[in-house]
Amino acid sequence: MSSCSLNSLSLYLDGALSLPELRRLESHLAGCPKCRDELQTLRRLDRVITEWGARRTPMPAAAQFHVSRSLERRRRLGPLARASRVMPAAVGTSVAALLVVLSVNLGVLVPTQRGVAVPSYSQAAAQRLARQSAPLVDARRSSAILGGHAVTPAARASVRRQQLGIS
Amino acid sequence: MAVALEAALIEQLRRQEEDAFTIVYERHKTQIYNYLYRLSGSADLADDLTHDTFLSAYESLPKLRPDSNIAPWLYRIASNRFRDFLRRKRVIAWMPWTDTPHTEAQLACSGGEEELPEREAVQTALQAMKPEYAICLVLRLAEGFSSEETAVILGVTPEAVRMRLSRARQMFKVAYGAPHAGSMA
Repeated sequence: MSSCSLNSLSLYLDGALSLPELRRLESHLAGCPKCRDELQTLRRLDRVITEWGARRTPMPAAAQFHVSRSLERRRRLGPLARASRVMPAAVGTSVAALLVVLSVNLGVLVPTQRGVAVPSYSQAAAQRLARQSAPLVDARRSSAILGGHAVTPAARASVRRQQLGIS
Repeated sequence: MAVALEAALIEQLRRQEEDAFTIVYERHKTQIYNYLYRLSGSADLADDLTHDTFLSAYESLPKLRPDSNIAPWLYRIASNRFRDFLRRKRVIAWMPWTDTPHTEAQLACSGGEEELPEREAVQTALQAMKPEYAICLVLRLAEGFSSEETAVILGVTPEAVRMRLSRARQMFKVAYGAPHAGSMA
């Protein structure tokens, strides 16, 4: 790679080299197996991405319906109808996080031994509730262990990944 | 002929004619959805980002320039919506209960089961790259735009696109685990 840089190989693949540059590179490639290998690797990877890009999935009908409905709303109501589908979730989660942080810092919520946040003014009631709900929690855990309905999405994904042989 | 039709369509869009926007939406929805699906790796996110892209496009119709090209214009908006999403994601990333939907979505995507590991390998490699480089690579190689068109979409010069693509190829090679990864100086 002394006289042909990685950038010039990329430019070569893009057909963006000037004629003198092209001649110089091709003459270098003729005597440099390492650069020829590198060029082959880059070509192969380009093909991988191009083939991956050739596969197209139709937009789901539900998503199309959302777009059509929002456009219709926008046409009827004007700029007031502007609504992002990504923004509310992000804003909602951020506000919720902020409230939790503020609550903990202001002493409205305190962590318990079980990691559940409860109001500090009702410790006794919360402990009573925790005792009452313990059997339910244990039942849910048993259900998960026994393959019941309480299996988390992460666990499902893990099983699928194992089936597909993806580490 | 095609250029004249595109120019006429842009004129109609600038006048905010609804039929013209419907034509644009029908013509480009699959492209934009797939582009955002490739960048985000999540079908749900692609749904939402496609929604926001077309809403933003509709909002910006009065600002559409007469010499614009429709596809690069839409891809530019889609790329910006994706960057906005990444910015917001960085802000809330510290939260322990925030799940990344990628794995679930990748496994749930349509297509032959035997293609999933390969598809996931490409997706994973792209997500390991810096977003600006991943976007450049996807636009040039997966979406098939020229360096000049990619430059318009990204708002940079064609030379900058070529430089970025060169780095992006190296990043992808390392991330994808190519046989000769990192062996060249």
